Amino acid sequence: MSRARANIAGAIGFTTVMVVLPLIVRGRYFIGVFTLGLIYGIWAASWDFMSGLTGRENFGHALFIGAGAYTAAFLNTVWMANPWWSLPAAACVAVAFSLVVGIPTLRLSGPYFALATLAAAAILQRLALIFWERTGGEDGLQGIAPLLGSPLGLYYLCLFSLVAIVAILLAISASPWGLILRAIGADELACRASGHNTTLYKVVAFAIGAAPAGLGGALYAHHQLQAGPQLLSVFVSVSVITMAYVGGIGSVYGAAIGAILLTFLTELLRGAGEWRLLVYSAVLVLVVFFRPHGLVAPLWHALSGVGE
Amino acid sequence: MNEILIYGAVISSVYALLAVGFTLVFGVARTLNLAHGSFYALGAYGTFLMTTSLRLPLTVAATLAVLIVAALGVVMERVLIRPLRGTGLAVPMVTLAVALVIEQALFLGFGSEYRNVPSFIAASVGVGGVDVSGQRLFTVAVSWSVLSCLWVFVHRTRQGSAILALSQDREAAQYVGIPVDRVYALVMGISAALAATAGVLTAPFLTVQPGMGLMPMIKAFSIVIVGGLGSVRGSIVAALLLGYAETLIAYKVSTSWTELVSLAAVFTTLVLRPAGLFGIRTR
Amino acid sequence: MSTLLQVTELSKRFGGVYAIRNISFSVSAGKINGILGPNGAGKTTLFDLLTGFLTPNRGEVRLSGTLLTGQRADRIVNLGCARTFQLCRPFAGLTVVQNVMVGCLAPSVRNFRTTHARALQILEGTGLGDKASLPAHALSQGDLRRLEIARALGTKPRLLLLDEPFSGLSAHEAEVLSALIRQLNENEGITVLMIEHRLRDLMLLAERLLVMDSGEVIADGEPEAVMREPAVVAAYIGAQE
Repeated sequence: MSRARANIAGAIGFTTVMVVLPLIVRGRYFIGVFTLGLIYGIWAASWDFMSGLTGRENFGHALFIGAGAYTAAFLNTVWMANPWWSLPAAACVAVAFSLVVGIPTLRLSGPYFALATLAAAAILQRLALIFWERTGGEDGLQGIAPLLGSPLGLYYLCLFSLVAIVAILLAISASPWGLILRAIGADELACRASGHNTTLYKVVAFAIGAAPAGLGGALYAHHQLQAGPQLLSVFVSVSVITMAYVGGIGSVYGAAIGAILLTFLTELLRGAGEWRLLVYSAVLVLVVFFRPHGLVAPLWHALSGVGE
Repeated sequence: MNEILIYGAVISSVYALLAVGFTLVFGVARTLNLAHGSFYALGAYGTFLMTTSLRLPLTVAATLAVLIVAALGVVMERVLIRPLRGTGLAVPMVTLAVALVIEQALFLGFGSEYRNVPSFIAASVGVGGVDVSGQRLFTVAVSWSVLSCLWVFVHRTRQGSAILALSQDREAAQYVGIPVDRVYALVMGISAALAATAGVLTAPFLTVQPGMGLMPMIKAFSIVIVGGLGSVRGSIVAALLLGYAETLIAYKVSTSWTELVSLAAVFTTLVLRPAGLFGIRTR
Repeated sequence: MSTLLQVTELSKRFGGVYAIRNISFSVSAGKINGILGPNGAGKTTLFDLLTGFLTPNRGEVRLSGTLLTGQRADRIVNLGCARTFQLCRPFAGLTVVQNVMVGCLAPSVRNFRTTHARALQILEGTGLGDKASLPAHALSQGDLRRLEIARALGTKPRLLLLDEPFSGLSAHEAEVLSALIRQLNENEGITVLMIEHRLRDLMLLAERLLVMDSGEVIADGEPEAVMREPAVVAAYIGAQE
């Protein structure tokens, strides 16, 4: 079959598996892990969209994740809003942050964007701790209301969100806009010389990547029923990057699958407890050195091309 | 007023050590070392480890810690960074991963409680009517001595000239036969040593915990951006500016708002004059 | 003959050194113009100034009366002035046709429905039609040069700036490129401004020659005449082939 057909078959296959999964492997604990995997998938895919295509590394994706989670927490516990408002609100707040960080830095060549993203997440984390009366400090905000009555319901909501988000991001990636983003990643100067306002493209791509991350943060908050400063940590940012690398930089769907795989795998490592973080970092280093093109996307590319 | 002068000096000197190291590596080797904060933390923890477990005298422990961290920096450069150079993308990523590994290793090894590192000078000293801990004054003295030594090294020795040459024109330096890889390793070692020294000096009066390297590194970024990426002079000036600005805010407003000082400074710089105070204006 | 490009008293300083010193010239529409000069004369710097990659300290550049100086580089491309680079800069990781499509997507000329078709058409015109699906990094030097030009053509330029397009080409590749440039000029009316070291290729194509040295224009006119001027001979002792 042609590659396009194979891709559609793959997408359907993946969705089917994920729909059926919690019905086969039952239990609250497992559904929780699967849901977490899906949320990480949203985060990783949204990171990959901007950083994978344009090559401008964002080291602080946790900024959007944490901002989204805290937005959900504030709306829900302080302003007593209906939990469903969290999702669009979190996305908007994340986009706002992306503009504040992105507009001054993406127009500059050099490491400014990379440094600013890392710094922004770290500073927001610090502020969350400093203003602990408002934010709950180390423990964060507790008592967030769940979005849906059942964990299974939330799982399917997250699955639907992931599939929809990845589909949208892939559509953009395959469009002329995506082509220009990839041209920016290949050679930004030459892209400008081809008549494109590369700064605008980067800023917009950054904002487009921020929205799902914030939304995912809100989903997380309504899943764990709390939001704390750990969500703004460097570890979260690096985890997301690792997942994207494992999945295959620039593929978007690879990042989502990489995220799900890694989340499941690290749950198996539950026994190792604190060693998980070490393992993630080590995995990133290994992938960067030995498989910079990742594992998932190249594998699928090879498999889906077999029939051609 | 005197308090501000003195405490401002203390914090500025530490910032200067951190910023100069970071900007040196970027200016010479074009490397974004996101494990810079880890070297700071390792300096502190190394001293702690050697004074408690190995029961070494403080001066020896401190010096050893700095040297070991410097060696670690060189090893990291050689094993992880050099092979990736030229591929452009992954170097900062890898250093960030290293930073995480180090933080986790420290957490697993020492736990998350704050650790106590003894002071070099336990006594308080009266300066200008202000009671300052001897350690803090010691910090100022050592920091500026170290930076002066660095200046002498860079401007008066052969290796130093090699560093200067590389920072100005990499290709020309190669043509003249300067061993580029070795100079990069040297610069990384110096940078790590500076960061570790900062860690050693401040450990007695600042908190020692596994994540202690992150915020100082972010501060270093801010200072380096304000001063101009790659400009050592810029880093020192910006370190003084930001150090004093923070101390002023801490005294006049509240300590909570000090974080926002560097944030505001960076934002203003990026919007108005991205090259920083002493950076090279491009286009 | 209308004036397409007007350069007036252009100057660019780097620190204390003048890379470009008070240059003025104009380019008439429809001709192939050459720029010659020893290394360090400032030719590429001039291109950078014309295309918005550098801002001049003094002077202005106008394209059909529209002010170019101070505009963003991508705006200038959309006003009708495109360039190629001394060292080819293809979009590695994209295919040949995708490379050209990026040019075709420039805001002032794009048409989403016909992007791919137009890109293929341009590739046919530049002789790269059969290589459309190849990854760009698989091309030979000569093909890469033509790809750069094809990509620039995607933006429908009125003025095409070529920076040493013949460098590194074999005799055969040079012939093909020469024919292409002439065809673009005669059939599509594109005005060409070309920096080139290889004298033979330059003399065969250029109808007008500017000679630069140390940031200034030292001769300007008909190629044969210009090459005989004493200033030019002095600057170019042992002119390269």
